[in-house]
Amino acid sequence: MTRRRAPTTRRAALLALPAVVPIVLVVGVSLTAAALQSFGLMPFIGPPQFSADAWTRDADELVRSTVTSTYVAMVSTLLSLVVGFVLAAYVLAIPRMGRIVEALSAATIPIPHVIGAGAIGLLLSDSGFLERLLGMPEAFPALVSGPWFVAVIAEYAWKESAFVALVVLGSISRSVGDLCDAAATLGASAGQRIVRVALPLSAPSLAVSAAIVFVYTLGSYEAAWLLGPTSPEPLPVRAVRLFTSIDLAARQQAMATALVSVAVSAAVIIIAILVLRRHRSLS
Amino acid sequence: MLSTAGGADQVPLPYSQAAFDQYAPAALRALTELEPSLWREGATYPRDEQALNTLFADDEVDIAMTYGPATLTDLVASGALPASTKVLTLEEGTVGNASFLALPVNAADAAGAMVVANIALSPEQQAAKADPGTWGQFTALDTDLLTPTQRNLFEQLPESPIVPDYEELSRNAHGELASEWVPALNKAWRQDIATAP
Amino acid sequence: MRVILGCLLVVWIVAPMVPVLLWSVAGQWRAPAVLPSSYSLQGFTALATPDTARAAASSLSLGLGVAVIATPLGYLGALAIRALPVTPSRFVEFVLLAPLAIPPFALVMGINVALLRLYVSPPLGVTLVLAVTALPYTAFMFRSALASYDHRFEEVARSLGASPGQAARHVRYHLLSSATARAFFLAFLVGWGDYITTLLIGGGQLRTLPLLLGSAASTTGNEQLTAALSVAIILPPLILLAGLTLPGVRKRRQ
Repeated sequence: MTRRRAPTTRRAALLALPAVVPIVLVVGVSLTAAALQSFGLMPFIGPPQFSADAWTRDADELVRSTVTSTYVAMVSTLLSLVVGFVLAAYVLAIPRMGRIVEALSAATIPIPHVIGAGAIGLLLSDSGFLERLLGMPEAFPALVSGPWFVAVIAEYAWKESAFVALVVLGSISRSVGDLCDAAATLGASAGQRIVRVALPLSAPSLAVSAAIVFVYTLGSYEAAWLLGPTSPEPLPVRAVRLFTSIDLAARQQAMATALVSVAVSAAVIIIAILVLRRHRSLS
Repeated sequence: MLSTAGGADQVPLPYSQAAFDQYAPAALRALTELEPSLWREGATYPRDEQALNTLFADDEVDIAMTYGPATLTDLVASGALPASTKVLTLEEGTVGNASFLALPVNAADAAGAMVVANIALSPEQQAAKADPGTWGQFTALDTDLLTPTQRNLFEQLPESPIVPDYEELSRNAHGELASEWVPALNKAWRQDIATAP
Repeated sequence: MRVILGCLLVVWIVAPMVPVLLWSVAGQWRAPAVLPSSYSLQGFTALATPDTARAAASSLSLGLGVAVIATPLGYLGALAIRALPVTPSRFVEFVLLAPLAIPPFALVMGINVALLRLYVSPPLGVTLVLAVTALPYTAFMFRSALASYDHRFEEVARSLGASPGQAARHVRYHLLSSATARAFFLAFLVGWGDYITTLLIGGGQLRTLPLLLGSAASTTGNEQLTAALSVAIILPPLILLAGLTLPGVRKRRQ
C-alpha cells in the first residue's frame, strides 16, 4: 500500500507545481517588494534606508480609510447575500419567470465593474436617469459622491448579488428539489421550504461567496473612485492616488496602504475558513 | 493662493516650506469661506475636471473649468454643453502654460526624439493642433515671427462664437508655480477642506 | 405577489444598463430630458477605427492568453488537491486561494517594480499577473467538478480495453467539458475586462478596450462613445456565454 502511494503522491505534487509556482512567485515577489518599499528599503532613487515613516505618518488617515473600506465591503456583502439568495430562491421556486430572472442575472456576470460603475453613475447621479424619471425632485438624496457611499454599495450589490445567486444555484440546485418535495409532502408552506430547507442547504455556499465578495469589494478600485465622495477615501482609492502621485515619496505610503488591505482581506478569509470548518464539524 | 497673496508676482515660483506657511493658509481660508456657495456646500468635490464638466452640462453647477478652452467650440456645437456657455476671463489673469516636450537624459534615441519634437513644433503641426476638429489647443508659437504662408494657416482657423481669441484669454496670464507646490497644496487641501466635517 | 417580486428582480437586474443603452444611441441628451432628445449612431460609428480594432485585438489576446494559461494550470492544481494526502493538499489549496485574498491593485503595485527591473515586457507582465488572479477561479471550478466526477467511468472504460489516453480523451474530456468551458470563460473575462492591472503594469503600452473606455470616459461630451464602447465590451462575452449555455439548456429540456 505505502509502496504504491509514494509515487502517486510525488506525481500529484508535480501536478501541483505549474499552478503553485507562478502564484508563489507573483504573490511572494509582490508582497515582499511592497513591504520593502513601504519601509524605504527599495527606493526609486537614493540609497535604501529603513524607516517606518510611511506607516506612522498620517496614521489616522490610514485608519479612517480602513474603517471606510470595511464599512463599504460589509454593507455590500450583506446586501449581495440577501439579494443573491432571494434571486436564487426565486429561480428555484418559480419555473418560467425564474428562468428569465436566472438568464438575465447570469448575463450581468460578464460586465466589468468599471462599466457597472459608469452605469450606476448614469442611473443614480444628481441629475441621472432615476432622478429624471422621478421628475427632478428637489429632495433627491446624494447617492453618488454622497457621505454613505450609497452608489458604490449599489454597484457592488448589483454585480455581486448575481454572483452569489450563481454560486448558490450551482451548489444546491441538484439537492434542493427532492428535499423541497419531501418537505412539501410533509405539509411545509413555500415560505417554510425556503427558510427551513433552501437556506440551511445554501449556508456553506453563502459563506464562501460572502468571503469572496467581501474581499473583492474591499480591494476594488473603479466603483469607489468613480462613485465615492472625495473624503473619506477607501483603501484602494488612497493607494492608487498615492501610487500615481508626482511625489515619489508617496509610494512608500501607497505600499503601506496596499499591505493594510491585504491584511484585512487575509483576516476575513481566515475567519471564513474557520467558520466553514466549524459548520462542517457540527453537521 | 495667487489671488489671496495679492497678485501672481507675490508668491515665489520655487517651493519652500516658509513660502508655503506664508501664503497657503490664507488661500485655504478663502476656499473654506467659499464652501456655502459650492456644489453640495463643499461636503464633497467632483473628482476631476471631467466630473465637474458633467455637473456643468447637467446644470448642477454654474461654472466649471477647463485646460483646453479651444475645445469648448466643439462641445457646444455637439450639444454636450449648453448653448448659453460663456467663457469667463479673470481680471487678475489666469495661470497659463504651454504643453512642452522633454527628452529624458537617458533617452535611447535622443536624435530621433529631437526630430519628433521639431515636427511637433512645426507651424503645420501647430496649426493642426489648434484646429478644434483635431485637438483645439492654442499654439506655442509666436505667429508674428512666421512667414505669411505659415501665418495664413492660423488665420484660416475657424473663428469661434464662444471662445474669445488667444490675445484676450491670455491677457495678464502668468506662469505656473514649481511642481513641488502641487503635492503640498494638495495635501493641505485634502486635510483642511476635503475632510472637514 | 410572485409576479411582482419577479418584476422587481428584473428591474433590479436591468435598470443600471438602461441609461447606458440609451446613451449609446443618443444624439443629444441633457438634463432634465428623461429620454434622449435625438438619436444617432455616432457612438458606434466612432468605434469603427483601426485604433478600436487594435484595442479589441489586444483585449482578445489578453483574455485568451490569461485563459490558456489559467485553465490548464487550474485543472492540474485541482487534480493535485484531489490526489495529495491531507496536509500537502491543504497547502496547495491555500496557495491556490491566496490570490483571492490580495486586492488586484495591491498585487500590481508590489510586483510592478520587480517587473520593471527584470525588463519583463508589459503585455507579458499583465498576462502573468492576471493569470495568477484568475487561477483561484479556474482551480475551484475544476475542484467542484472533480468532486462530483465519478472515477469509475474511466475504470469501466479501461476494463473495456481503452488505453489511458483513450479513457482520458473519450471519458474524462466529455465529463469535464462543461467545467472546462466555464473555467476558460471566467479566466477569459479576467483578461478581457481588466482595467487597473493593464493600466498600472501596461503603462499605456497595452491598449485594451477597457483602457479606451477609461480615456473616453475622462473627456467631456463623450458619453455616446463611452456607452458604445461599454456595449462593445459586454456583447462578445455575452454571445460567448449564450453559446456555452444554450446547448446545455436545450439538452436538459429534451
